Amino acid sequence: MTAEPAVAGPALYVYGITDSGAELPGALTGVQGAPVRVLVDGDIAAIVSELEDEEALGLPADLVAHGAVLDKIAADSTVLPMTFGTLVPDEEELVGEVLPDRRAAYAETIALLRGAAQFSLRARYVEETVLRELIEEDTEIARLRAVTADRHPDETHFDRIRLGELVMQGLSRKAGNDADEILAALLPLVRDSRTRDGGRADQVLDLALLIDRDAEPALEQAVEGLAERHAGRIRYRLLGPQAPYDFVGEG
Amino acid sequence: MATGTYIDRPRSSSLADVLELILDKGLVIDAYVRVSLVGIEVLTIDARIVIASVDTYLRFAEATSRLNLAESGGKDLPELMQSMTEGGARGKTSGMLSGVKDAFTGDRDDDEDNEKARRREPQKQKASSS
Repeated sequence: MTAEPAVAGPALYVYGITDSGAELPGALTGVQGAPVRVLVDGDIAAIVSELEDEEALGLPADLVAHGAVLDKIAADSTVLPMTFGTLVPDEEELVGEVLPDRRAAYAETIALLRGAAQFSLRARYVEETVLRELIEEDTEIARLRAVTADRHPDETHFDRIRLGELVMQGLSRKAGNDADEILAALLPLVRDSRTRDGGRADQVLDLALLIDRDAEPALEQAVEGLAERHAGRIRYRLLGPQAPYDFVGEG
Repeated sequence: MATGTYIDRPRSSSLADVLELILDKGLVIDAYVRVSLVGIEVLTIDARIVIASVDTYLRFAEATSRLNLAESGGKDLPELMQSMTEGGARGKTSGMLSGVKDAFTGDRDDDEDNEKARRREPQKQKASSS
């Protein structure tokens, strides 16, 4: 939000905050291909890299790089992720102006999240399977489907709208039930969780899970069990370990 | 890391995965966030409003009408599963339900390719100049 990039020399891109004792993976490459380094400030440390071209920031590759740096660190250490595009003019401003007010809060959050990592789970319906279920289970859907099947779309406009509406309601109802089953299987394994609204019709559940790092195999096994049970009906995608984006209390 | 038979368990995040996290979430230091991702923001918003519109209803109606119920009896579970695993996360299984975001995710592979190409380029130049 600074009006002009009138900064002498490259700005510092900030990825996140970790505790100063954390051991980070060596040779991380960050946004715009710049080497990532650690700026220690007391008991916390900022993960940064120099940003040569401020105006060009925001390419897909930059977003992926930001995420990748944090994920690699999060594999072994607790790191508080910054939102994308966090830039400070230089080291002095970061250490002298930005961090002092926030150091205590950051350290507290790091302590709270120590030993845990975030995993993201996405469960999505296999379209064909659930649509078929709805036709079989809901007589009104079956009827409207038959009514609209062999007539010109213009003649059945409102029937088709009603059909689509019922199908979407049916999907949402199913998602509620299936989400309950997923949550019941996974919540005993986690420290904390957040459901996200993916805003998509095929969404069963989008979930951010905070788990102890050593519980990763148990989580994978539990998700694998669900995925096996729902094979052909629900697809599961599990990402992580990630930085605890959903558990840093903002956004 | 378990290589699941049934779960999609990628080792790194795609652009679409990252988008959901790093634009909306994470710590914010006021006055130090500079982002101008106009194109990306629009696409993210589009994916969210896709839900309750007449247009979506009509697309669902069409998808439901298109289903061939007679054929369905023949397709057994292992076959479905196979097509699912073969297709991966965004193979033939991502039908009309996937909406706008998948259209955007489609860019992902291109970006990766571009990046690879860019990385390769300097090496090539070095090789030819020496």
